[in-house]
Amino acid sequence: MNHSTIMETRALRSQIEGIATLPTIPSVLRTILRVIEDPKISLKEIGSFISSDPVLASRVLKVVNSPIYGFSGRIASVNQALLLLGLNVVRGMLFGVSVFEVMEKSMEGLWAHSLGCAVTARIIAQKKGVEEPEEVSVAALLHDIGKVALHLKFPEEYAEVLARAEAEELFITVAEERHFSVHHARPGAWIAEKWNFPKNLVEMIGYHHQPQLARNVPVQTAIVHLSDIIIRARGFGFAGDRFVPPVQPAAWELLNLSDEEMKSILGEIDEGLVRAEDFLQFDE
Amino acid sequence: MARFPVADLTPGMRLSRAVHTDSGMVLIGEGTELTEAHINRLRTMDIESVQVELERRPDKTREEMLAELDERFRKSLDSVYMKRLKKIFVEHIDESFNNNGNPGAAQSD
Repeated sequence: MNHSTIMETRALRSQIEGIATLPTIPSVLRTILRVIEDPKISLKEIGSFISSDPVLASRVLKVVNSPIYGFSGRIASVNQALLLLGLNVVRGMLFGVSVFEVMEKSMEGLWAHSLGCAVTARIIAQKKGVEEPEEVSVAALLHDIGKVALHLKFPEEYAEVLARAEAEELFITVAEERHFSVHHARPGAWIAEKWNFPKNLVEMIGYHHQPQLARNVPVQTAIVHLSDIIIRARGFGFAGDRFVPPVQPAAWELLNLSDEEMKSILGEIDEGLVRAEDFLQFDE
Repeated sequence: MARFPVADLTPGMRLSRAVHTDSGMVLIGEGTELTEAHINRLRTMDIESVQVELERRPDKTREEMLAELDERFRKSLDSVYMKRLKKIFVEHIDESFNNNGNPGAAQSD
């Protein structure tokens, strides 16, 4: 990277970080995030805070019982959700749920892509015996947050990038790099850091196209990377281009899934996606 | 899967999602094949609709799905890994058509 590109990237970063909050985050969510930030508050207090708002509580229950997490219909209370999933996961999930509208506005089909990626990541993480599969799901749900950030900050330019990707049959990462000198994963990590997401989550978001660079959670990052590719190959949702990008060989080798395992994963994804269908819209 | 009005349920339909009471207790579990008794119970409660599994019929033919797959993989087949991934997808599509007994799929009888 030459000097002027470094300067450009710095300028881009400060502009992206200037997106203080997403415009569509409802005020109640803003309150809950503030409450969660408070280090003195207990899980139980957070639970009763969420439960005191019926819309929020039902939204949380809807998400935790969705195929993203695989508990399907078994979580009946907010406290149970917090205990099972942990605070960080619930926080990431609340972000995911609240950005879905803006995701869909940024790019039609991006929410479906993200949701499908989260379902896929959870299935692979469970297959690989990853300790906290829910954390990987959340990372997969939010992996393209950088596309949302670019769209929010540079709506016209980003629309041009998308049009170019379509017209010249480019991968979205290539079209983004041509215009912004970085692709969406960097802005994704910047904004995740800015929002104080746990560092594992930042790493998975930032390296989902270069999982070989992940230092703290290489397996989890490889899972998000492969899930992104699988869900595009499956033709579910839209992520900015029509083509499946190649998998990073190191990530494939690291996960080391046999053909049989892959096929059983594809079967589980089909089931998960059928159940995800009605989750693509919120009807509350 | 579809949300189905309780008034239109018929015995034999399968729940794709559990039905809960307001307090969160599971009333009828996920995957239950509904009987007349279940349906009557749902009707007496204040539940308007439930999620049921509909017969899964692929809305595309096998050939259409394979053509779309070709197109999506068009720019990454230099990679041996992607060739392998694509082959796994082709086999998966073939198998799903055979299992569903879809008329479009190759069957011996």
